[in-house]
Amino acid sequence: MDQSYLEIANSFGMWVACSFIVIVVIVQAIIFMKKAWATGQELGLEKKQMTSALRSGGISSIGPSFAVAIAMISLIVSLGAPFSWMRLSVIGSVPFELMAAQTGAAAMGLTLGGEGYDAVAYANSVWTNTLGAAGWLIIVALFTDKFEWLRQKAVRGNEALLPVLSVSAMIGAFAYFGAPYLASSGLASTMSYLIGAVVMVIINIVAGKAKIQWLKEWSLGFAMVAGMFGALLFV
Amino acid sequence: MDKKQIYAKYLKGITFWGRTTLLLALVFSFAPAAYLALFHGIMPPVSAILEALGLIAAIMVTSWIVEPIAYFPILGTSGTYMSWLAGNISNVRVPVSALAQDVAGVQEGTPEGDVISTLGIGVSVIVNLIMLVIAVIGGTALVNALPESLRTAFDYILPAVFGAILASFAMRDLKLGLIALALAFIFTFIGAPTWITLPVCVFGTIGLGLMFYNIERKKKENAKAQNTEKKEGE
Repeated sequence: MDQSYLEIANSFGMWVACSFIVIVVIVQAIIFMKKAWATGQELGLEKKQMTSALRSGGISSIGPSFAVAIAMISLIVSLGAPFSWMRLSVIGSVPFELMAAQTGAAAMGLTLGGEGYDAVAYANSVWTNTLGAAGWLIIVALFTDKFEWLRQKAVRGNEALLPVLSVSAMIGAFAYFGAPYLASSGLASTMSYLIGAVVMVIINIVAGKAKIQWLKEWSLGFAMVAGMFGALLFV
Repeated sequence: MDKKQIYAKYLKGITFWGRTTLLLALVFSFAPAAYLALFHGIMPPVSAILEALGLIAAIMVTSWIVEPIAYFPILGTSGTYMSWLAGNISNVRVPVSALAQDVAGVQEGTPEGDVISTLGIGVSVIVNLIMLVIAVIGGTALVNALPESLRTAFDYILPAVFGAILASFAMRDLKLGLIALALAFIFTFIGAPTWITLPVCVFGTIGLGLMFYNIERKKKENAKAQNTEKKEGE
């Protein structure tokens, strides 16, 4: 396998080229959080509620982000560090990036990182990943304000229904996310799902009855740890 | 200013900055491809790019349209701009949004809910970046240094996340939680494609949720009406 393209894929220039979009992500997050904080105060939210949201967001994203970081290694082997890092810091997810990079290779009659996968094939993967995600960026950039209009339309001006709409959507989405682990992923995944669910219910009951706010903030973190290590017993 | 005006002003700013940052990101997303072409002269034949675009578009076109719409009632305006730029939607953004609103004790789908969700998602974007920077600097060596069992354990983190969050919603609405799970289970089991299963689950559950809400409300109204009738009768 000719791997000389990896020198270019891991070059300093590639790091620079990949950094621009990551900077946009950071700037956007900061602008949005500042606006949300100010608006939260205007809406009469307590500081305690908002810091609670920040803490729980931070705590619960460590685990899943770490899982992404581990999976990123499988991308780095064939796509180089900077591009893998950029793709998972913005827009994509590991399965999408792998699928798109493989599609780029297939268009040249090759397989990702396989025999004959050279600099040109690598560049074709880069193009494919970029174009494959561009559709989302364009649709979301242009039409998000129309989605809000649709949401208002959906409840026909009855704003009391908006929370029902959101909660139902969340329940539907989480059922969708979780179903594969119950339907077709093996015993360990199913056990992780069930343990996560049971631990979450117990923590919610305890935190609610004893009014322990920090426990609620950590609830998903604890449920994740219990689920992932509990699953090891059934591997 | 009342809440509606405050929120409208917030949405106006978010829409402007969301659109600007996304279009900027769209341009910058081509930087690696442009770098390879301009600095190293590596450019695939246009026919290969077009063929790859055809293949990827055929796979993705429904998801480009269906997914942003399906996630919108969950993420709201600001969450949609943030999540589609930062990626990792199902495994990081949506769980964080749900938990943050629950912990802060705000109602989903309201201006307060949107603000709290934005704060939670914003932190998750920063945390995700930090973790990836650590991993990419530590590189393969760092990951290989982790005990095998720990690496295996991380394969099972997502089912725990999804089980936990669905359970906490089921504590609030058991009936809807179970029906949604059954619906998702059936469509997954028969192997329906994502672009069918996701909208069926999200919009189907929305439909059921609204229906149950209306039935409950009518029941309450009827009970009230009967009570007043009784009182009048006395």
